[in-house]
Amino acid sequence: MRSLFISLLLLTGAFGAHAQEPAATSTEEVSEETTYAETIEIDSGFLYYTTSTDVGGALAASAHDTDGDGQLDVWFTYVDGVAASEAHDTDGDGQPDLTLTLAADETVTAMEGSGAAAFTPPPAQQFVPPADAAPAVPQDLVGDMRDITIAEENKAWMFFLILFVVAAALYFFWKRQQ
Amino acid sequence: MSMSNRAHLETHVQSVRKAAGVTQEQLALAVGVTRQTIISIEKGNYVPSVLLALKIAAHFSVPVEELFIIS
Repeated sequence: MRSLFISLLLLTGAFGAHAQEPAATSTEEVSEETTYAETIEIDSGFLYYTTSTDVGGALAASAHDTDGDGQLDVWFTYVDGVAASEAHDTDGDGQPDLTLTLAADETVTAMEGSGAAAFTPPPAQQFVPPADAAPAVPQDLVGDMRDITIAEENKAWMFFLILFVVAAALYFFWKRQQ
Repeated sequence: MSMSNRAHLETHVQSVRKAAGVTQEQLALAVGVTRQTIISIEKGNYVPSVLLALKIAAHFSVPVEELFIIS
């Protein structure tokens, strides 16, 4: 069992071999999928807990107590040995309340939950542009003949500047005539 | 931090930490983990979560790519 555990860790690249002897070990098997659960306590309570199915011999999930409070706070899932998601308990209640999905293209999607192991998409956010925002106009910036919409530079100040200059010029011209 | 089976995660946490004059205990306290977690990360025995990697990078004000390199 210990060698299997270590080989699982090496397979995933999540851990190297641990020199310390496990202080406590428990194993449970579940019908079709064999789930291995092992707890290793090291030094002052750094706890490893891993679960895995034996399908393909790859690690399917692992969980860890990274802050040493005795309960798990980070849960990983793996697909083909690659981390696919990680869930975090950020408020210390033992339940995941933040999950990050790690896509193959290295993008990360974060989703917050209530702490009851249930996650809901974030509410749609409405963007309210400022009152003096310039209007959006379609332009082709890169010359690929595709229209994109960008905000046009606000040139209202330039209109008022020209108006002021013209008015000032007319005023001085009128004063010189008198 | 996702990585393939054959990928190796090179960590520079220890060198960056020492350059900043920060102890493992101080770093652990700052990012909310145990010193053992920091030790495991520095030894390459534990691949930190994205969240933890970002916290460490933010603590040292460096890009996360400077701390962890997939080779």
